[in-house]
Amino acid sequence: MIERDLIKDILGKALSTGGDFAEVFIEDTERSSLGLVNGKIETAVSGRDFGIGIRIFKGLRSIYAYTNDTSRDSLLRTAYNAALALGEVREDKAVDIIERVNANIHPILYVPRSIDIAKKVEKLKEAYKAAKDYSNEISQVMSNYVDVDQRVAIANSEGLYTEDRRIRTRFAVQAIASDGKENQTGYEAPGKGMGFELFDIIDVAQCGKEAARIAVTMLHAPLCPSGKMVVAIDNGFGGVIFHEACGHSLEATAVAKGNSEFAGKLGQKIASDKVTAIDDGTIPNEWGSLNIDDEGNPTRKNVLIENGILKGYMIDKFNGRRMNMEPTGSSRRQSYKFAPTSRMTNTYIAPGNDENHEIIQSIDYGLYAKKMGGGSVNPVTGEFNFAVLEGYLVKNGKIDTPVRGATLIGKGSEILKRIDMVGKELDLAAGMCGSISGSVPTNVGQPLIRVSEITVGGRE
Amino acid sequence: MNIKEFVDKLFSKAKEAGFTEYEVFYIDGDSFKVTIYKSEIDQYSINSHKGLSFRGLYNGKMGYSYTEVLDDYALEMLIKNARENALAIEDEDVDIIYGERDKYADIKGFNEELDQMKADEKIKMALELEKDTLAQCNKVKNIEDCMVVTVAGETRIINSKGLDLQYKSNVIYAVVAPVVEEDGKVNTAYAFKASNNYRDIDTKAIAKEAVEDALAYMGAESIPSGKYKVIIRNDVMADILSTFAGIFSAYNVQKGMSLLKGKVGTKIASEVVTIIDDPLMENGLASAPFDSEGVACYTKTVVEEGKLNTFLYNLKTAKKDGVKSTGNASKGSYASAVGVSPSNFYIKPSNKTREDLMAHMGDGIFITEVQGLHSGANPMSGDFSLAAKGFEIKNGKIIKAVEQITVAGNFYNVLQDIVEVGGDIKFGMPAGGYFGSPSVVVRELAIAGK
Repeated sequence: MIERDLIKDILGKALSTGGDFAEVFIEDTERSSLGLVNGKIETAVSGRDFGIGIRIFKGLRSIYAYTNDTSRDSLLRTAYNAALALGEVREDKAVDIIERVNANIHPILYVPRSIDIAKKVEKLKEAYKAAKDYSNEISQVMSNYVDVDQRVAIANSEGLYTEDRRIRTRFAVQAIASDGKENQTGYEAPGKGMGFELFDIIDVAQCGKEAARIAVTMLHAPLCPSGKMVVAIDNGFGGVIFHEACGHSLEATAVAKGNSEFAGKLGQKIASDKVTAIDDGTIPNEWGSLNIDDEGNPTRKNVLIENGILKGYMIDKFNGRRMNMEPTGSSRRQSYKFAPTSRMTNTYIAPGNDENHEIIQSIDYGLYAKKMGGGSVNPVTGEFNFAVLEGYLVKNGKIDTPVRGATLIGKGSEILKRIDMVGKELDLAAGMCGSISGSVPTNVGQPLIRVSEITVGGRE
Repeated sequence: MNIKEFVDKLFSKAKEAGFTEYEVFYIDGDSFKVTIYKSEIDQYSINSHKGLSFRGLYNGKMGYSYTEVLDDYALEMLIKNARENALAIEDEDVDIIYGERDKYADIKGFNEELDQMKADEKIKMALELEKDTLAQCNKVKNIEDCMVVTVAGETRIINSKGLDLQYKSNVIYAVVAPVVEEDGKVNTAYAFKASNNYRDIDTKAIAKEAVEDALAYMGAESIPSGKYKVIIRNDVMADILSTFAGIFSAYNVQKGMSLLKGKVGTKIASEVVTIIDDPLMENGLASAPFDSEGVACYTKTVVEEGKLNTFLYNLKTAKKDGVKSTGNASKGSYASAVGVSPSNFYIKPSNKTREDLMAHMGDGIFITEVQGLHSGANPMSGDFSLAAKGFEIKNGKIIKAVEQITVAGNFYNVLQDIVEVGGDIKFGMPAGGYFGSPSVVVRELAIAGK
């Protein structure tokens, strides 16, 4: 993408004011999206992002600069201007780089760009039809298709040069059910680190039907009651509870400066014995997977919590300096427009020993959260929230009526100790996670779990 | 290639390829950011960014493509992708390339003095912000974030109907998020100021606001679940308005995604509610002379004393409803297709003080922070259930801080249930529009707690 000699010169220029580490991140991304509204293709956009990010460290200072003017002059000037932030210019450092080729653990069968648009449109229409046909209360269906083909090259002053190509495809369908006075929605959005072969493993009609089923169910559901309850949270996107209640607080971004309720607690018990939690960027072709992170480190399977004991954090190079710890292959960024930092990849609570029916049967009165939405957390205090998109009351050990609209809130450190049952069937689900290095694809996951007490923010 | 040369070549290729009308939307910007930690520069970032989006009518349908590199390969790719995309479009509503000769307002969005501000001065400002925050009181134990950011950008629209428009703007903002600790309990808050005049950035005032906010919840407890009268603080209401502003978009109305369909001319809110979209507002961070289609922007009252006057339109949605565009065409980023969004969009303040509102409410909850607007609020249904903090009010006075609660309701009902509007208008961080509101009193909302 950029001549190796020029990369060496950029790194050398970047270190000309006394920096002790420099890195170049080159990105060339092709992206295409299609939007179907009410059965007709309404938007079709495709294009190419291209740019270069230069990062320099000097001790605990980090400098970042990006540009998409890729002429030699402009790149060297950008490196020079970034370096100037660290002090007086001495001389360019001589930097050598050696290329490393990574094992590709996420093979791609059908590169999206080589697939005819008509085939992509077909998938959207199939989902639309299934959703629309589900019920005459479905008033609107929107479905979207997105593919991303990101090529990156990463080089640094430690002599690394390496490349990676990340292909991702996602399909989303949203159904609106309406009775003329009220609207309710349902949503399905599977995504994988795959090309068009995604559609060999997902059934888009089933997705459309599922979105419609949720919307119609919620249209007829009474409002959710409020207060503290026992809650069973289903597998798949239910894993957002761990992502928010704990995951973000284990990122070095929060831990390095002590701004996490879990800072300084390695080796301590922070969760119930039932909780083992893992962040694994190596699962083949998963939505949050990568061959290498955005600093060029191979991704890993990081055990965060084992039987309730805090085992590790997710660490990037810069925060690792402050923490005096090695990076964990967790450094990510949305694009060259962001300096990378520690982020999650595929994060999940590992399967336990409880049977699903036992979990439901154990609840006298509570909530079964079948489908979850997104959430957020304040890592300093551990206060988190996440939304229930499809919930049911549980009475006397049986799933009872559906209930509409509730957010669950709590404090991470308290909730982790209240996870008292963990099922056997792990499932992962795709999401987009927003933080200081932008929006990155991550998976959340878990088996069905039971939380002995959590505040349910209903409206009754 | 420079932009002029690139556009000339692109337009001649577009014509050759069979596009009947075509347009380029180009942005050229730069940004600066410094974050401070323990009196040292922690992170420092200087960036420049260009992006070009092409759209054109091919077979009567609009195809889009974009690039960040202006080279020969990009020329070919833009034409090929836009044509391919146009051929996929089935929507019958007509996209329009604009060619009217509007009169555009002269908006001072670009502040020369800010443009000339040196990096050293910005660093000094950030250092002062950290120092002022730590100096507020000895309970400030750490700073989660302390930064000064400047962004400058130029937008240009050039099309085959002879339009060639340019608008430049810049902004500076300072943000601080202190961590306070008392009796082993920690809490955080943040405060910011955004303006295009750097003299408006008062680091002491930002520090004071952030620390006071963080300390206010010390000793906070949850409260029993139930229905309460509620005051929603100005900044929180601005964020809620931002989340649900899409209900006023004609696009959402036409697609059945807003429940305001057929409600123009009717009462959709209580008579104390007036909502204005003012793209010409002085110091408005979403101010602009023209929208993303090149249509001249103008000020309009969207809701007047509770009555819905108009939806917000771009050219396509206006044509469908047989009205004129309200100049609200927008793009999520330079690369996106044209949609509809508000500009500087706010609930009109009254002359009542916050104390007046509390006295009017008597007993209830004063909500001063919400979390989870991106997940716990559904713009399609209007439903929301949000993690919240605030204060319990008895006889018009604050009696204690409240946390670990949720506040839930429906935005359409909230509009009807606003019984008082304060005078303390505040705008949030710009996000696809610039949203403001005074504090408001709401007749009843559901609070979940103990």
